[in-house]
Amino acid sequence: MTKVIRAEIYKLFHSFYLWGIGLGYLLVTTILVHDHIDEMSYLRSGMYPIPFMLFFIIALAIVMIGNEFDQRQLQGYIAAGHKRIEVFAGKLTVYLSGSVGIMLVTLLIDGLAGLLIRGEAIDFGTILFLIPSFIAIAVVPAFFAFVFKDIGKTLGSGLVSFVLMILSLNTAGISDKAVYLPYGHSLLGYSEELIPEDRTWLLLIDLVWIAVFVIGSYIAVRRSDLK
Amino acid sequence: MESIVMETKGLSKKYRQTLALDNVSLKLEKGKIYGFIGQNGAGKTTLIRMITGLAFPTSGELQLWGKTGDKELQEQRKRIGSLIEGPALYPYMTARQNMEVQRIQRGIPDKSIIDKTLELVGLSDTGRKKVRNFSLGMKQRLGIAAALLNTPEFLILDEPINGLDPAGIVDVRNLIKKLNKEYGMTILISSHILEELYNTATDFIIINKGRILEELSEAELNAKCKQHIEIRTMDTQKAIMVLEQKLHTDNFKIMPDNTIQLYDYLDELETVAGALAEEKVLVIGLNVTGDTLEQYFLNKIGGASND
Repeated sequence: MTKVIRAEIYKLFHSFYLWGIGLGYLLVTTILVHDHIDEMSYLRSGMYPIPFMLFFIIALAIVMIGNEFDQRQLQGYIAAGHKRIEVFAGKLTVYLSGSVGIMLVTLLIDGLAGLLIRGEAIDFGTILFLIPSFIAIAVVPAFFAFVFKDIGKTLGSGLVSFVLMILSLNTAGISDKAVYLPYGHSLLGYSEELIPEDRTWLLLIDLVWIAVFVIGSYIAVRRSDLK
Repeated sequence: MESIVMETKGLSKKYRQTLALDNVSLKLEKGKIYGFIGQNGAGKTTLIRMITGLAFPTSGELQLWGKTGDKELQEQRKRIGSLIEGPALYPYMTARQNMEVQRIQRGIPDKSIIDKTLELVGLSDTGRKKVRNFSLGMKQRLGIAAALLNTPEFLILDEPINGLDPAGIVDVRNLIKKLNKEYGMTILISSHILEELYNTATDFIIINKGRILEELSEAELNAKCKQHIEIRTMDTQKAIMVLEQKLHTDNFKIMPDNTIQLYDYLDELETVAGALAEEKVLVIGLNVTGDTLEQYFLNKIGGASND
């Protein structure tokens, strides 16, 4: 698996996809953050747009997974003798590092902006706590990419999941429902409803989401015929 | 057992209602160049996908160097280099960077192998040019280079000369022969350009509708494609009677299109013409010829279609 991860990292550093998507994510977040900084801290304002930025993560899943199935680049690993589980784990690890990295770095920059501009303390505890939620958010488009193994259907299903997420966040009593949705956890953080007593429960929910979508993704590639 | 690189026993693959491979039993011996011939959809790529681990058989067994079972097969695939249905390259990288990805993922410590392999396929001077700006032929060469990076014992090339210009085709042919001769590499090539396969391969496998129709060596093919007199007539039965009764020969074949291939009297065309004329057999074509691989293949699958 190390060889797959090394090759994936080499590719990341020689493509503009990750950096372009990361930069786009940061720029759009920076604009959205300004809607809330009058009422709350930069860090909490930075938590608000996280669910809405999912389309950037969908784009990353498309270029890193869907596109590579489409172009038969992932198949090349298997033909070279790597076990499917190694290819899957290597690819997912690098994709999750990239997507979670984008979300995390952006949030840290928001916190840093608050510290530098208004002297706000950075709540590292909450940031760290949100990492499993970020992973749970990112595994959903990855799941679609591993299931459909192309660009079009990954994009289509990713957008459907995005719309469903937006709709779910606009229903009545979202604060109660948000507990069960990883993308809702950042909203709980934003509205200061992320109380310490709930954190174990929220973490467990994130882990269940991660387990379901990771196992589902692996089942989709384990014995499937690849073009 | 190492002399047999790959063996399939009753390998079948079914996609819903379509039988893509039907009970394929095949042995590939070390050091030979196999030309894999078949129409589109005949099952060539399906078999190649199974060999390279991209597809799983519905039934039957696949062995690589005598080993079978998912885990063992995957381990043996490290000894294979492949180019399947066009090269899987990263368009935003240069040729060297593409090769570096392959080197890293195959765990090859020697970086100089990249230069050597690029030189081998004539791509050593592409510099910083991105692969997205390469011609089809250059991409194909790079795909071949990527397949060769680990100096494989078994090289699988699916349509390797697609997009190559005539000089490029000759280069690839010479490269394949060189790899086979110098490294003893076993090579399986599928191509629609049968003339080119004929010039490259030492053995031929003909597949049609998922079934192996024939495996034959170059010598066997040459014998089957040997020189003959081709007789085209409106009355095949009467012509056969003349050949048997007047010329006293049964060394001929009737082809699916009703032409007769006569393997005797090659230097006595006028004798044959005279005998047929004497019996008032209307001949519309009479000439000495030999089959090309293409004709042989068409006859073969034509025969199979008539089955």
